[in-house]
Amino acid sequence: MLILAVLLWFFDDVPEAVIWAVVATAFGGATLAGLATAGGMVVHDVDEVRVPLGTWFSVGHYEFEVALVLDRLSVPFAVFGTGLVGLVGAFSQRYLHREARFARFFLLLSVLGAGVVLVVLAGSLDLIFMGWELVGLSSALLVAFFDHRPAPVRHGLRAFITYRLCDAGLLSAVVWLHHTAGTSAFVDVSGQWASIDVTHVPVVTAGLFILLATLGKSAQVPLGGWLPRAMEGPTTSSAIFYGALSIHLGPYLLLRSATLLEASPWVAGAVFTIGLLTALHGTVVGRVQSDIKSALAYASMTQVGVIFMEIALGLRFLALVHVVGHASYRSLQILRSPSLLHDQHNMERAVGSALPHPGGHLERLVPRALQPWLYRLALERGYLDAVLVHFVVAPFARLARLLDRLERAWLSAFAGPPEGPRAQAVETSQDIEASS
Amino acid sequence: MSLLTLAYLLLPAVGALLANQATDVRTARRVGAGFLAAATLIASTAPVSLLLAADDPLWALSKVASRDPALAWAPAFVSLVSFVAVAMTPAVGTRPASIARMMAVAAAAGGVVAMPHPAVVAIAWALGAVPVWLELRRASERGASARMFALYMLPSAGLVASGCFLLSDGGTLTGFVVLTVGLAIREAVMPLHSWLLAAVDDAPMGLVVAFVAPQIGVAVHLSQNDILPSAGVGEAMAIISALTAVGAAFMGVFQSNARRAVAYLFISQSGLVGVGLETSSEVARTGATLTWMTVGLASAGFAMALAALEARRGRQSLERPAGSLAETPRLAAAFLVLGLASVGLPATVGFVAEDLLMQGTVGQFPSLGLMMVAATALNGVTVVKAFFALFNGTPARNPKQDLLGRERLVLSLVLACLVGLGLAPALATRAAGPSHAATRSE
Amino acid sequence: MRAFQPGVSEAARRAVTGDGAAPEALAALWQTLERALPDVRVSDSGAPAADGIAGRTGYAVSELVHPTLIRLCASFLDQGVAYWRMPGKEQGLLRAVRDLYTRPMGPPEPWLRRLPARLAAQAARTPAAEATVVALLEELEIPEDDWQPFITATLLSLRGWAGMMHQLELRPDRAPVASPPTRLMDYLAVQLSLEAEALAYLRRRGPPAPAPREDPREAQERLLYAGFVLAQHAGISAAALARGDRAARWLDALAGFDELERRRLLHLAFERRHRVEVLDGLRNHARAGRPEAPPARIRAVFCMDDREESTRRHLEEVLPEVETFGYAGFFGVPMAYEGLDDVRPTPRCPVVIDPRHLVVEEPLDGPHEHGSAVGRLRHGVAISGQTMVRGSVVSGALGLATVVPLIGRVLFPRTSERISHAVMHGVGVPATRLALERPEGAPAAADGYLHGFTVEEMSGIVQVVLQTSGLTEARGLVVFVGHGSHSLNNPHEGAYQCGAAGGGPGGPNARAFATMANHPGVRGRLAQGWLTFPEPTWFVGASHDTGDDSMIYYDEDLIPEAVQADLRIFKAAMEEARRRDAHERCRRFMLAPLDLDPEGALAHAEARTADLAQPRPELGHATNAVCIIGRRSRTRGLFLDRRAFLVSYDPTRDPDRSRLAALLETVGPVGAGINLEYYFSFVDSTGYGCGTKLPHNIVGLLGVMDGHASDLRTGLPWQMVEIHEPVRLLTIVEAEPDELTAIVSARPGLARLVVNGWIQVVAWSPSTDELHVFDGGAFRPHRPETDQLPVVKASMDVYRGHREHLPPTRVTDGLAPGGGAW
Repeated sequence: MLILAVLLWFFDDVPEAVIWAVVATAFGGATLAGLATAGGMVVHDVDEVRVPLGTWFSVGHYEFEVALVLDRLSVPFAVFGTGLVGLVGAFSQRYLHREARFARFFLLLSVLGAGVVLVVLAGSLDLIFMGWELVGLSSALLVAFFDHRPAPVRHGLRAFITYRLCDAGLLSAVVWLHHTAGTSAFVDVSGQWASIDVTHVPVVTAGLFILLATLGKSAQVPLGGWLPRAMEGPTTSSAIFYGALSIHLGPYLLLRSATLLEASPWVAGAVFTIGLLTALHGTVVGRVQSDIKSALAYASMTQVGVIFMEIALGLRFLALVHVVGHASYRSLQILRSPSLLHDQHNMERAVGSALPHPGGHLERLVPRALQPWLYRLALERGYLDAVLVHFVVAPFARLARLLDRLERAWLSAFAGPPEGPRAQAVETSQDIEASS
Repeated sequence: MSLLTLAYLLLPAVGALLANQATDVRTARRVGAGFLAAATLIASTAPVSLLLAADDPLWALSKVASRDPALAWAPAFVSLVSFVAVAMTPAVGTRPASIARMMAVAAAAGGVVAMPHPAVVAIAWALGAVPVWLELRRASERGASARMFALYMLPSAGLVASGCFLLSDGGTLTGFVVLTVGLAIREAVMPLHSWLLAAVDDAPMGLVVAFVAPQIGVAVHLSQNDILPSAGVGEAMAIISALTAVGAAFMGVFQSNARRAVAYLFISQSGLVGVGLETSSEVARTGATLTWMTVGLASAGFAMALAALEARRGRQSLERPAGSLAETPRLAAAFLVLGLASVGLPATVGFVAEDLLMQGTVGQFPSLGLMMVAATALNGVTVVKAFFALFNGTPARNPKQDLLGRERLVLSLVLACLVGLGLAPALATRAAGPSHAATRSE
Repeated sequence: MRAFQPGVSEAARRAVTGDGAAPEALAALWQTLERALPDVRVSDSGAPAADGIAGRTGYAVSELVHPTLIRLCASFLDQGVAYWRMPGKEQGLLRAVRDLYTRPMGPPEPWLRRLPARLAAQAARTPAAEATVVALLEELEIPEDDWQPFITATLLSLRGWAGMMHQLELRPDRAPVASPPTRLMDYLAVQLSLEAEALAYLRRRGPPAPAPREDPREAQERLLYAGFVLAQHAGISAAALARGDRAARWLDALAGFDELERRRLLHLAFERRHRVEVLDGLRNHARAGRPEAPPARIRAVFCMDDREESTRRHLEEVLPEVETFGYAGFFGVPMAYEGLDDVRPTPRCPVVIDPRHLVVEEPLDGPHEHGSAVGRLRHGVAISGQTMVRGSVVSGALGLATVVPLIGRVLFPRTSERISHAVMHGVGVPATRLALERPEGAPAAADGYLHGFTVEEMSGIVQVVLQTSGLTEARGLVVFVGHGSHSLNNPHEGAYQCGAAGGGPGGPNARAFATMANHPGVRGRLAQGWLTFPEPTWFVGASHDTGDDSMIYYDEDLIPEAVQADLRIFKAAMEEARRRDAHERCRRFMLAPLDLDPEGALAHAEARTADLAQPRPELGHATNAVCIIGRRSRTRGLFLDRRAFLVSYDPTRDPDRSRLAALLETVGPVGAGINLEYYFSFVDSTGYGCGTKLPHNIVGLLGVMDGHASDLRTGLPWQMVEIHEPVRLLTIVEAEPDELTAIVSARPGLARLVVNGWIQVVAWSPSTDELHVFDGGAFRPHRPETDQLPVVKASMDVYRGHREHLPPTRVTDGLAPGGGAW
């Protein structure tokens, strides 16, 4: 990733082949290394390997330790993640061929890859936070990939704001754990917190912070509104971020901190509730989406909600299988989405008639009188976004504007009498600026 | 006073005089940048000389620097930031006199950090504000911003001078409080920040950067760090700083004026530094000094990248995307990376600084720690929002040029510092942390 | 300002500086111009165009209205993506929306708060869409004279969706599955209602934001700079400009030479370069003559499609005894067609024809079971993937299994397509026949179609096609080759099919035509006229896939022994020709190395069409530029770089030019349509095209949107047109100029096309080499610029190692004569 960045900074036209060679080597190599590790672990019957890479920096008693954890949770994830980045890279090499932003795509893809590897292999929450930030940043920049149109940029910013606010949850969790437990390192295979003082309040607080962190990345209720809007980048980046890797980092983090959930039924209950609400929201709203990418986005959201519920119930192995299965299934679906017309036609031929209309299931369940109402609710995305924007963000914006006006009034209190033509000119130019 | 210190102090001043004589901006800028580069190189000998022999009075600051080694780096840091400000100042719409004033500000700032003698600090502190006032008087609408600037800076200079006077008689609580309030005005601590917004509106960006980004108040504060105030005062100041950090971050997110957004970013970051300085843990103090320098350098580059953009496209609003990534890819990338480095992008030294700062603070002030987290989150949003608004959108009618050779060189240098130290943060923490001094004094 | 622009010639420099030094002379030049600088009117073309209400009031209503409106349109028109259909859509859009949005607990957006009351009032007072629209126009205070332009502008603000509403109102039969009752007026009423709501809300909030304007000083500076630079290049000194008002006139002239004018001139120059190259090539090729030869042994009729130009050329090079023809690829059969596995008939004729005849493909051995249990199971699984409970089971249980196709599809597209094809169609294709013949006088069936053609209708079709294309002397083997294309990852698959077959594969048309022409009744009827075929004459239908260059031959079991040998020869030649065709095509694909051999090229082409990751499965008509209506003998052996539509027409057998007139009326619009579609998609990819394919999102099985939600994007994606040269179709007709003038002026449709300059027309004299270009209302002789024509042995010698467009070149291998007839 760094190599790529440096190349792009210094040279004007880096050939596609060179870019692809760098990315392919990195992720191909990483996948093979992951597979080799997995093989080694199976052969030697090792459950967990900790790789301390030493102290990155330290001040006084505080040390930033870099340690990787290889266990049954992280190794499959890592192999799967790097492999998928490699595959999507191979796909994109043809898909984005001759695209002016080819280099930027691969740069961001490698940032994503690096972020995912960091999150997955991290031995402590600090390292996870680093990876978490990288994934969020690359994701937002890829949503805004087609930078000349306003919609992608708007939606990219929206995704970034959601991420950033939820990252604050993760950072708070890091800081909080250091404060209460003295470390944020995962110690044993299941992610037992070292010497954590399992008094109730700190654990619940830490758990809720972590839950907040996962809400954004995994597009859970009520912060999931960015997900369908994020389908603005190239189809391939949508597939890997919102079908496969980025969206499943939330479940991964929860699996990593599973003991925290076990320690506190309150946190587990919160996770379950969020998961349930999201699954219901996703499935109802997803049913009315008439464009393929939104439909797939809500389908993803639903499944991640279900995975949250599984984790809350302690079905960790099931959740892991579900994550990997869903990730590959969904990313293939998104990659195939431009072939929808072709596939629909083939499907009709295979079924042998016009495709049966599938909505009957729901129509039987919901009373007739409520149906149009529920349909509208689903069409308007459960009103979640509208409530967030108009009843949470808007008051803050109004407050900021008010303070801004006060600020300018304070400044104009210092203004002397009008001075003449020069001041006039300055004034008009400022007017233009103020009003634009 | 050693020869080196003298050279360091004189170089920017001479540069200012020469630049003032120049007939066109480019010459003035070349002269200014050259003198500041030389000053930076000379100043880099300060930590070296400190390392070789602590008592060798090659540099006047060796006495205080032995208490806080970060101060040994301060002269180099100050002139580097001024160098960035001068070298990145666009020629379009700038007069040679403005360059000269930037140099004068740099000279005064250098005086404060290189000669931590109370009298020098008091005088240099006051002198540093004069060039900015001159510039504002010329540019401001009906004199508003110049008057406001004067109204804020005169008390600041008075308070700092009397604080220095009081403290030179031995540490008193009053002296400390007076000094700190004087410093706080210039650090634009809320609610004493309005002058900065007015200044960014009217003054050339380079001058504002040279005046604000070095945050020489931090150096003064550090040089007085053996005078420990009562815990209550420290806590009060930490709370004010934290509120400043969050409040400014909040205002920054909703700004629609690019320059003001940058100003709020400055204010919020100096609030963060302030919290760390008031925390007794050495992790936090190291974090604070590291944040001080990182943020100073990164936001200087960030603000000057904005200035470079303004030279190409005029004043910028953040209302809607109106830029083009395709035309100026490097400028855009530098803008984004520098902005994010100042708010803790992983793989830059900003991340290290921020991590230390938070970790150190939370032990003493858990709730302030969480406020700082919120402030950083909001600042990140401001940076990315500005990036999207400035560099995305439909291409303009006239294609604009990407980074020129000069700009590319300067920004490469800044980026190299930030990323290099980010990848090998031990260098930075060792230089900024007191552990080094502690081991030496044993 | 102190030095000359790079590239200013030495002479110009001397003229500018005179005796003085360069810096002073340039400074004087700048000042002279600056003094004469006129006020510059600021054009507002920099700001995005605002339509309808937004344009009139300055309020950005679209930002509020469009997301909701797009959602409503997409849900209303959806053809089967959504699991849950819009309730009440069978009553039309307006009533469905009223029904949905008047219910309590509406959307919480502030601007929508008063919408329920508005809709309820509408339903009570002005239930009809027309009345609602009128009431809204009055409410918005649009003066009645202004209604027409206002409504146009309003509809154009989401032109894709409005256009789709309009299309489905006109031709509900062309909906992919089934069209709901669509009315443009309903749509307009909904749009205006939402806009009125948004406008009222925004007005309550405050005044509109002023539109961004370009600073006039910047425009002035631009003009000054342009004048300054141009004066340097032209060698005009300050002194020369200082006399009188010359400087002002200089700048005025420059200001008048605006962007539009500049582009127009550059475009004409661009077209001229191409035109001269092609016309010189044709003339010099014809002048070089061709050897005498025996009559052709095999005849092959292809579609006039530009992509078949190379196929025909390679076939002629491989098999000199073949004579090829070009005809619109539906081969005169105006039918709707339902293949064995199709679930509904689709039209297979040009869009302008509404087919009344249905042709069904029937299995030979007993009834064919439609669909399969496996298919229904797959459908069930596909649906479940998007639900909650079933989705969990599917993604959890089957998800891991999809890793295999994921890896296969990405890394080994060609192999995995073969495997998946084998799995899906493992049982093999049953032998079939077309149900073509309809008894005389049989009425239309319940589905509204006439099932098949009567013998008389068939004879008519066969006669017209054979006579127009000059195939009246057919004997032995005659192959009719239709064409189609298939590809994955391609919402625009239809655009690669045969345009003349209505955007479907033309193979069934070729098969139908061949069956007709072999029909004894038809032969008998034709013989009653003057059209007889000596035995053995047999017509064979075939289909060419322009994507992977594969061939299918139909009804081979019926072919008489006497022509079997010829068919074997033809197939072998075609086998080689398709390899070479793929090879020639591959030079345009940047990902295909230039040193591929024909075998490798064919594999590359096959991999492309099966590759999910490939946004350019083939390049379609991307290079089309020329249309030649005339005898193949005049163009045979000329390399035309897959850029020419070739239509066979024999002027020597059309004394009254009536066939030419009929031909022009069909071929003209088809060729111009394809050409202009590419032209406009290239010159304005965002406006007329649909931008880049990469973020496309299929909506409602109807079309694509950019990303999450946008206007319905019509037109062609950038990937399809990026190598296109935007020139208007250079239509070269074998006729004398006056004959052509007579034909065109008598037919208003053609006249619009020609006189208004949508195509370039050239008359190519059938008897001499003279070419006349239609320009400014009359034909003017073309003056050749060269007598030289490069000559090579085989096509491969022309294009090998090149990726760019290539000029016409004489290929001697292809010259070997085929038709002694003409």
